[in-house]
Amino acid sequence: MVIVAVDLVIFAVTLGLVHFSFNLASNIPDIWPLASGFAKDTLQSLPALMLSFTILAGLLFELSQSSQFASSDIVNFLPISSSEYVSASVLSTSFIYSVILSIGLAATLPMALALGTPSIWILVAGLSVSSFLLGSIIIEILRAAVNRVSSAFYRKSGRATLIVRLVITVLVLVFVQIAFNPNFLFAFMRTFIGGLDVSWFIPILWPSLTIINALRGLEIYAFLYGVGSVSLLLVMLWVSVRLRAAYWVPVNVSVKVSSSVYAPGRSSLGRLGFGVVGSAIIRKDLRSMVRRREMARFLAIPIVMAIAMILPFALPSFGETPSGPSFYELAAVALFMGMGIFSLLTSMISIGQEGSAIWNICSSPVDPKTLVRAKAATILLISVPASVAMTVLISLFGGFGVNAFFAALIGGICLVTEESFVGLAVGAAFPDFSEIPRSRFVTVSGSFLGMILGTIIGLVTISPFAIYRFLPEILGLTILNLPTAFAATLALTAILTYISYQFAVSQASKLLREAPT
Amino acid sequence: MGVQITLYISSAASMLGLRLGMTLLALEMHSVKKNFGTIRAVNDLALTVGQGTVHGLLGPNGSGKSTTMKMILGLLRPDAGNIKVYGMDVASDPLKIKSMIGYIPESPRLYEFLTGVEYLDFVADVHSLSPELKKERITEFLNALELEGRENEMISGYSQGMKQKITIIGALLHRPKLLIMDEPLAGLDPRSARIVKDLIQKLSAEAVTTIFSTHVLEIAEAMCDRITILYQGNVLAEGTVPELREKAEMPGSSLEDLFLKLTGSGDVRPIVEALAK
Repeated sequence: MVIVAVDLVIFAVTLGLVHFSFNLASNIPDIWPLASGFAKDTLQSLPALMLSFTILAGLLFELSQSSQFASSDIVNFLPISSSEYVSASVLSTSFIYSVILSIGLAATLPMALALGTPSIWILVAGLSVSSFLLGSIIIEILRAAVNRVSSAFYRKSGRATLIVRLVITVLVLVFVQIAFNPNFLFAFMRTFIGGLDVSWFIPILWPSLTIINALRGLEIYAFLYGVGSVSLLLVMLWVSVRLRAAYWVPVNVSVKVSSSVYAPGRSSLGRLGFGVVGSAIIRKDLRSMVRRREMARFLAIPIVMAIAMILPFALPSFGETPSGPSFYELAAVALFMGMGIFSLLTSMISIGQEGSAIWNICSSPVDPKTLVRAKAATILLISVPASVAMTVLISLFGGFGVNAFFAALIGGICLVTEESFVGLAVGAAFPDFSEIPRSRFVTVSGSFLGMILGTIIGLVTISPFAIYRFLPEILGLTILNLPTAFAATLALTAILTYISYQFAVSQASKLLREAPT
Repeated sequence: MGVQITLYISSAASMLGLRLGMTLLALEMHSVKKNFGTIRAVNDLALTVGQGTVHGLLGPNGSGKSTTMKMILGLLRPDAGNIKVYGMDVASDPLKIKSMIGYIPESPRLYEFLTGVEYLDFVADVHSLSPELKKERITEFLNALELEGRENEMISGYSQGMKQKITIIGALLHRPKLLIMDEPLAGLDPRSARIVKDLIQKLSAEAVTTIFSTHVLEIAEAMCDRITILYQGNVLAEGTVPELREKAEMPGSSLEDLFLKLTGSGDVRPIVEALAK
């Protein structure tokens, strides 16, 4: 009921906004040709956009779900036929993301009215709904196929599979980011519309071809593509049901990580000053990060952030060549923001990611300080070397001077250190150990609080460098010289890190005294 | 110096206690209460367990067994009362208490992304075992519970029984003085169950105390020196099986009959008949 209510509200708001905008545009002769062209493109490409959205959203949901619970799906043991299961699952997936369909339909209705083609909107709506369902069906097919393929693959390859899975997951997430970048999307839409006429052999584009032909008044072609679209939906549904019937219960797969005999030695982390207990927690958490598919999304953050910020400037449509110091300065900011967010998020989830296995820590002689230090060290072991490497690379490519290099180096290290401890403090105070239907690791209120605190603290940390770098340019004032900016940043980092650390320890202490039940 | 003297005194007291036939207490619980919101999980519980004994905690679902076990370990804080393990208050030095205890929860969740041997290595490290010692013990236990050859596989691929075996090994690795086991034999094959039962008896002879809960009353009858029956968070009866028979005035009856009578669920026939219809 809540989803339906949200859908209706969103529909009404979008309808109102787009109707108002198109009314306005129709009265401005210079803008109307552009607006009507955009409306036509949107009407034609809506089914394809709905299809790609459902597939990508479904994929993201699958990636964030703990594999352990996917295999113990209780529905597998109930007397439900494969067709009933697939139909229900498809409707459920579509229902969850229906707000996007709602936006799409609400936005296109005033466009169709403005173009004087209200009947086309009915066709667009029908085909968009069918494409939305088709996306959900494709997700069902992928689920069943992956069940089959991954079990065979895991049995054969072991440790390599874990790496391949991690890389693929990160690539999928990066692809999602690029695919939904508004600039990229717009460029893609124009290319896509231009090439639609010759795309008849791609079945998932048939709904769009139906609309194009209908808009051109080619009724027979429109009818043929329309029948093809509906047939495709039915065929895919049939394939999905057959696959589900064949690979009903996911096989519990054994992944052999090593074939060598167990030989414990002294951990190399000991040389970095970590105790035995701390090293054990760090090793476990590093393995968790690499081996759990629901953790891969966090590893993708720095790459995704960098792409999201750099892409608009790197796209040729902006007419700016991606070179010169300003571009590399921007790249440095984007990458450090990515690393900062990575540090913040991975530390926020580091306590909650223990899930219901938290009893292993709570029942062991682990003191809260060791726990917090080990959790922070796990993140810093990744983010500090990554920040240093990024600084070196960008400084080399961008031809940074010594001052800029050290500012980036110190600023980057301070930022990731501080974000790690702030995230840990929030994560320890607001952990979410539930793993069904998908792992969140930190409560919703904790997430919001963490993001706000992380942003403020990040800005505060780099503010001395920003004052040093930009104030003379903007106001012609020099308040800080570089050594003072260094000192101020280091002092701020030390203070904020210490406060966050103490808070994290007190929260961890509470957690260890009263384990979640 | 002070610590050393305390140790000497405590070991001397321990020897004297054994020689004089006195029972040293591994666990003392006095007036312990625990509520979860409006639900009273444990109510005014008093329990003492002697060192080296096998003590069974029995009771229907929701009677407070698991909550009691978690409070002994320091995983949950009692709302009132005090708990001492080997004379030490659980709240005063939780790390020391945890290092003395081996714990098997009711439905253990392990780190599924680790292999069996990586998990045990983690547990051994957390208890600060030396590399030589942990290798010796891990290898020994893996062989005893027939997990050799599967130790390098990720736990996510293990059966329920294999996961239970790994949990049991994890609880025993550091040679705890007190074992707290919540349904330890659930999911084990007969041979492994036998090994675990015999191990508990052997450890008991070496002064390791075991507190365990089970719903299989034959096992409790065969293994436990003393039994506590909990019902709705209260101790209903406590003693050896003959003492419980005497209290219930049911000479010669089985523990199952005693349990059903004491918990007020004696005649189950009408329920069975209703269900079978």
